[in-house]
Amino acid sequence: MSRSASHMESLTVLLLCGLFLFFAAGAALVGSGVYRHTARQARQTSALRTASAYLSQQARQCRETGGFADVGALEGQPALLLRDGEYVTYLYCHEGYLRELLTEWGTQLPPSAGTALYPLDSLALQRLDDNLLEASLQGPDVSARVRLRCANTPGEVGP
Amino acid sequence: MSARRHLFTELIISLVFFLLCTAVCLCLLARAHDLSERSRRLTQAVSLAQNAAQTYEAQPSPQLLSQLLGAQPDESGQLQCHYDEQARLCGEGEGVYRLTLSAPDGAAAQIDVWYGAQRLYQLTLSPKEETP
Repeated sequence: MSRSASHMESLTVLLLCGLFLFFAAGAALVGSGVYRHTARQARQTSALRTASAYLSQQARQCRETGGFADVGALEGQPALLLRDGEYVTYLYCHEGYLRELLTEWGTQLPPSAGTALYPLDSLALQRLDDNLLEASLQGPDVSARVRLRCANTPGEVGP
Repeated sequence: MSARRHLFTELIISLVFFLLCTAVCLCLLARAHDLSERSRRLTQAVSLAQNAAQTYEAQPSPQLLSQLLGAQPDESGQLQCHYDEQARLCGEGEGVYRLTLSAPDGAAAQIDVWYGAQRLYQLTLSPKEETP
């Protein structure tokens, strides 16, 4: 075998190894990109479902037990107030979490006393109608508006 | 010479086999991506339909309902509203989701959410009972 033919074969082998590495790196890059995108979408979908299901369920439970809901505040933090008899549940956002605080009506507690439920940056509430509220949720994985039907006696709730 | 040729053939076969495996893996990833996208759209559609249902339950009067939903009635009396990719209310031209709500007198109201020509979700609400 001549010297140049031997060089050609070595070069071809190197080229094949290069191709192998190129395809391996390409597949790893594309795969990790698609995986990251899919995982982010799954997180967002789960966050939207969890947050909206939680708020809807709380509002429904309050309505069905004869309670009423309103937009209020807990030490300056916008809060959804669900009042049922002597007790009131505050749902609000504090220190990066959606929190829930169940307390006796008229008792003053700090926002940090609530149970942290879910990572959330902000919760804005708005009354759209006599018995319809809208909650706007903004969080690391969620950006959503949830409408909540609720029984209400205007002026009776809210500190 | 023969050993070199064998190595060369082996390398080519390995590369072809690797490419086939990569193609299968990429197809699986593409399928996962597609499923995740469909799941995201369906979740948005369910959320939009639930919001519309809550609004309808709270205020079934057509005029106030269309105001609260930001909807326009079409020629058949159906309420229609459009939402962008992030499920924010927008004009007809920019919308990707279309929500229709038909509420014939005394019959069950029906909410449909469309993505282009594809119906993603349908929700039927029982007729509202008159309070005495």
